[in-house]
Order: sequence, then C-alpha cells, then structure tokens
Amino acid sequence: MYHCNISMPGSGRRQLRRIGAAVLSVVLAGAAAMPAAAQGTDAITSAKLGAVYAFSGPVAIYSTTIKNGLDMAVSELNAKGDLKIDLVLEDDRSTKDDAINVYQKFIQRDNALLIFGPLIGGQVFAAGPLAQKAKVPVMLTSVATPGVTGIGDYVFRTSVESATIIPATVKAAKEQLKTARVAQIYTNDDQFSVGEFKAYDGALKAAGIQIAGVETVRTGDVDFSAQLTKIKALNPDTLVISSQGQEAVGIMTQARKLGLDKVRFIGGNAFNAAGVVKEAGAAMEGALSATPWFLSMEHPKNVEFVKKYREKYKSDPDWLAVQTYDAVHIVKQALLAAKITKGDSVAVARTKLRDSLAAIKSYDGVLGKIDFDDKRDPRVAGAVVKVEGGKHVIVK
Amino acid sequence: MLSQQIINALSQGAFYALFAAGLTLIFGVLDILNMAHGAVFMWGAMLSWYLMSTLGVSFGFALLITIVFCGLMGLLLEHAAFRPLRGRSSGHLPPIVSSLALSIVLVHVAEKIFGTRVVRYPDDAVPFTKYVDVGGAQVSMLHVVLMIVALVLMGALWYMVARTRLGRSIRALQENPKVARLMGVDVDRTIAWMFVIASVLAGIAGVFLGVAYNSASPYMGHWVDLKGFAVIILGGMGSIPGALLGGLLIAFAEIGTVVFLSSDYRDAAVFVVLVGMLVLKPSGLLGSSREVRA
Repeated sequence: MYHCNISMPGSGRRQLRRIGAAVLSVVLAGAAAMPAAAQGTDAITSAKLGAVYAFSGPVAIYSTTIKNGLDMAVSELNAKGDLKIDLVLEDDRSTKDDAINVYQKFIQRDNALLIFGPLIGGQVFAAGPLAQKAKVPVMLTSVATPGVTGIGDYVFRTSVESATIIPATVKAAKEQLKTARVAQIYTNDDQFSVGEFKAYDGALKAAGIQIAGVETVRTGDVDFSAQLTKIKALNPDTLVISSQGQEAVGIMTQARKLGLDKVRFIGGNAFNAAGVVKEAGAAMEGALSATPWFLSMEHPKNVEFVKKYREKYKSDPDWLAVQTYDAVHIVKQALLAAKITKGDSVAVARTKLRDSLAAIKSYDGVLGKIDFDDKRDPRVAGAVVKVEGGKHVIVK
Repeated sequence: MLSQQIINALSQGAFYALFAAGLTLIFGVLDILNMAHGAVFMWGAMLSWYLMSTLGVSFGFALLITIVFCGLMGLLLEHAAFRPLRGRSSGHLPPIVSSLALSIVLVHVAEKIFGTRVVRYPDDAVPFTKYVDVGGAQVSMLHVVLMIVALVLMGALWYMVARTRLGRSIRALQENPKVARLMGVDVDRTIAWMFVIASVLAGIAGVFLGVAYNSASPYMGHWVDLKGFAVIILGGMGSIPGALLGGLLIAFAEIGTVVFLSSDYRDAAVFVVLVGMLVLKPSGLLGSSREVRA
C-alpha cells in the first residue's frame, strides 16, 4: 500500500509558529483578564480529506493527470492561507477490494471529512455504499458510469455521465461520417464500459442507425482477433468501442491489421485520453468521441488553467485533471460555506459539508458552466472531438 | 472468414502450448505446480520491452538477454522456492504456496522497475510486423514465426527428454527419485536444469506474446497461469505433445465459441472443455494414468 501525505513544505515550522501564537494569545488573554473564547465556536483551520485512485494496476493509465489536478488545486487553495486542505492519498491498485479497504481506512481511522475517488464505476458501486452508510460525503471526479449518485445523497460528482454526451457523438457520426451500419464491441465485465455500451445502444437506435452485431471482450484481454474477424464479416461502416483505454488501443490496432482498414471508430471516454491516442497511433485516425471538456476550449478559466498546468507539468491536462481540479475547488467552496467549527464532531462536520455541497447548484469552472441536477449529476455543454494527425480537434 | 479464425486459433494455440510446455515438464516429473511460471513469463515480456524501448536494444539481442535472464530466474526460483522444501514429506501444498509467494514478489519488483501501466513495444524494434494476405485472411508474419518457434522449441524439448543424458536423468527422476539418486543421478542438478529450461520457455513465450499483441504489463501473468494449468490438465500432465495438443484445443474452443456462440462465453468455454475432459478421461488426452505408488 502506497501512502503519501500531500502537505505544504515547512509545515513543521508552521506548527511551531502556531504553538507560539497560542501561547502568546493565552498570555495576552490572561493579561487583559478576559475570558478565553469558547473553543467550540471557532471555525476549523484545516480539513482532512481522503483521495483514492488507481495509481497502479490496469486502469492506472488515467490516474496521472488526476493526481496532477489534485496537487495543483490543493497547493493553490492552501496558498490562500484560509482553510488548509490536508489531503491523504491512497492507491487501490485498480481493484474493488482495495477501494473498499481504503474507504474503511478513510472513514474509520483517518476521520476524513470527504473522499475523492475511486477511479471507475465498478469500484464506486462496491465502496460507495460504505460512505453513504457512514454518512461521509464522496466526490467523484472520474466516474462517468450512469447511476452512481443513486448510491445515496452523500455521493457527488463532477464527472460527466457518458450517457448525457454520447448522443452528441452519434449525431456527429451520422452527419460527418455518414454512419449507417455499425458493429459494437465492449468490455462486458466492466460497469463503466457496459454503461457506455447501453448509452450507445439507445442513441444508435434513436438515430435510426442499424446495429449489425455486438461482440464482447474482457478486461485485460490482449487478443481480439476472433471478435474482430467476426465483425469484419458483418461489414459495418463504423465500429463502436466501449471499453477502457488499454483494450480500446488493442482493438483499434488489431482491427487495422486484420484488414478492417475502412471502418471508422467511435467511442466513449477512453477515446479522450491523450495516452490512448498516442498508443493507438495511425489506427485511431478519424475516430470520434464526445468529451465534457477539451484542451482548446476558449473560456478564460480554461485558458488560464491550461497555461498553469503546462508550466507545472510540462504536458497537457486531460478532462480528468480538469474534473478533479474543479471538484477540489467546489469542495473548498463548500467547506468554507459549511461553517464547521472545532467543537463539531466528525459526524456533524461531515453532514454540514454534505448539505453545503448539495447547496451548490451551479459552478463556473474550468469545465465551463457546470449545472448540478437534482440527482447531484453535472451537466455541461461539452464537445465532440476527432483524432486528426494524432491529435484531438473539435468537430464543428 | 473461417480461414482467418483458424489462423487466429493456431497462433493463440501455439502460444498457449509454448507457455504450458515448461509447466508440464515440471509438473510431470516433480508433481509440483509452479505458480511462478506466469511471473517469469511476465518478466520475459517486460524485460524485453524495457531493453527494446528504453535501451534501444535490437529484438534479437533483447531476446537473447531475456533468455539468459529468465534462465537465471528459473535457477533462483528453484533455489528459493522449491529446493528448501524438497525432502520434507509435507505434500503438494508447500511448494504451491512458496512459488505463489515468489510470484507475488516478482510481480511487485516488476511494478517498481517497469511501472504498472500496460506498455507498448516501439514500432521500429519489432521484426516480422508485416501481414500477408492469404486467400482473404490476414496472416501476421510474427504469428507465423511464433508458431514455428513454438513447434521447434517443443520438438527440442521432447528430444531433450527422450534422447539426451539430461533427459534420461529427468525420466529416471520421474520413475522414482530415490532410486535415481542411488543410481548416480545428481537430483538437485537435474531439477535445477529443468527449472532453467522451463523458465527459458516461459520467457520466450513472454517475449513473443508481448510483441505479437503489442502489450505487456506486470499483471499479464495471472490469466496466462490459469490457461496454462487448463492446457496441461487437458493435454495430460507431464506430456509435452499433450501440451501442444491441449494448447491448440483450448485455443480452438475459445475461438469456436466466439464464432459459433458468442464472445460472452469465451473464457467459460475453456473450463467447460476442461470439466468435460476430467469427466471423460481424467488423465488428459495424452497423459498416462498415474498409479499410486506404495
């Protein structure tokens, strides 16, 4: 188990200074013969939050930018000096079991006021109910699976649900690629991929596009030749891929090698990852997907964020970094508005934070204008992107 | 399209067979399930990737280094996980646990050195990447090479066991370890060689699977272990031609399921075939039924 505390450098010295200040204030209070302020009503000066993501394992490909988003938001917000976020970071090795273990640690041992993560839907459905039962707010920043906030009223997210933007991809495919006959392939042991598959299924049928066949793969598969050969025989003009990035790369590259060279690919969230585009290379040229956020979106908050991110990490952010960055800002805003005091028990503080989060109905962030619906799910305008010359460009 | 599927199954089967050959060698002679076989296989893939991508070593040279490295790893495996337990009359469980423990260590070391992501081989470093059109089927030269390599290596393994001095020692060991020792067979040395050979085969399978599907990760050994065990049970434990036959049969069962049934049941098919075999012929296709020794 990897464990790292994100704390500001020089926190030891700050602690000393804090002790000094405390001593001084007691002396002053004594000198003025005034009653010391009641401890219970002071606003808290720091809040312990937990974050659990897949820093190793099959879906670890997504977590680098998430960690960057967390780091960046926390260090910026802590520099303000009002309320310090004390973030405890844990790895769940891409497994449900470890997500549950870490949740229990955050809830019972660390007394975290809120938990960020985990990364994928399957993990949330496994671990989320624990937090709901213990009344600990959860902020998801990556899970695009439908229905996760249905776990309960303590579950929030800034991650945009696939289903809400997938119809945009189908519309663009129909107009731009003249898609009329598709085959679908999806990972059937992964909740997120199954959710996307179903969303595509509905959107394709609604758009009157013929679905010639459906094939499945499993997480961790490397050989897709049998399924792709079968799909080749169906002669579709477009292949709809609903899987995580690792399998999506394999499917696209092997499809080209097996002679499916004219077929267009459309996909879900996995297609939006820069790593997937890089690894799939020429095979992915022309692929379409919808994204809640895109690098070259022009609203000022995004322009500023992209600039700062590039300076700090010498690479481009992705939608996960943005959703995570916005989430930390929203949580900070809620923490300040919650008026949690030092006298509050952890349970009271958690409930106050939940109510305060639920009161935020819209937020102007790097994602653009985010509206939270009555199920605490975010709605954004988003964009459909296409891979052109190994890079994503916005489809007009 | 059926011809394409047959080719898909053949290359998949060749790979299963190559992986299972080492497993069946160890199991057939020593009655030991080597749970670390998949970890060595993974090291073969990851090390060759590291050599080719980070250090810019050519494919052939990377393969050579990987072979030597995996051979040494087999030696380590035998010394660390199996030799200390030999001579203890504690049954089958301790070696399974100790090799499982070692495989976990090997996976963690790989995580630390290579990272945890799925890695892709550099395009220009892999040979035989061309695909040829054979009557409408796309045949990867790399898969053809894999099939040839698998056949040649398994032939060589069979020859080694059947015809060489080391092979005679191995067969003597299989008959009766005590008598073999009395007859002057250096048991420790023979077993060490078997682990070296088995690990080299696993390493080669790792390199070829890695480049053939252009994908490797520290976790790739897990599912292969499971398939490998299915192959040797199906083919007959300890039988080298059985491993080849079992590998092909499982690959054809998998791909047949995708073609004629649904890809939903691909993995289930393997185990349906396995259970069917256990009911019909528990010793496997080419396995001889083991008599219980007094």
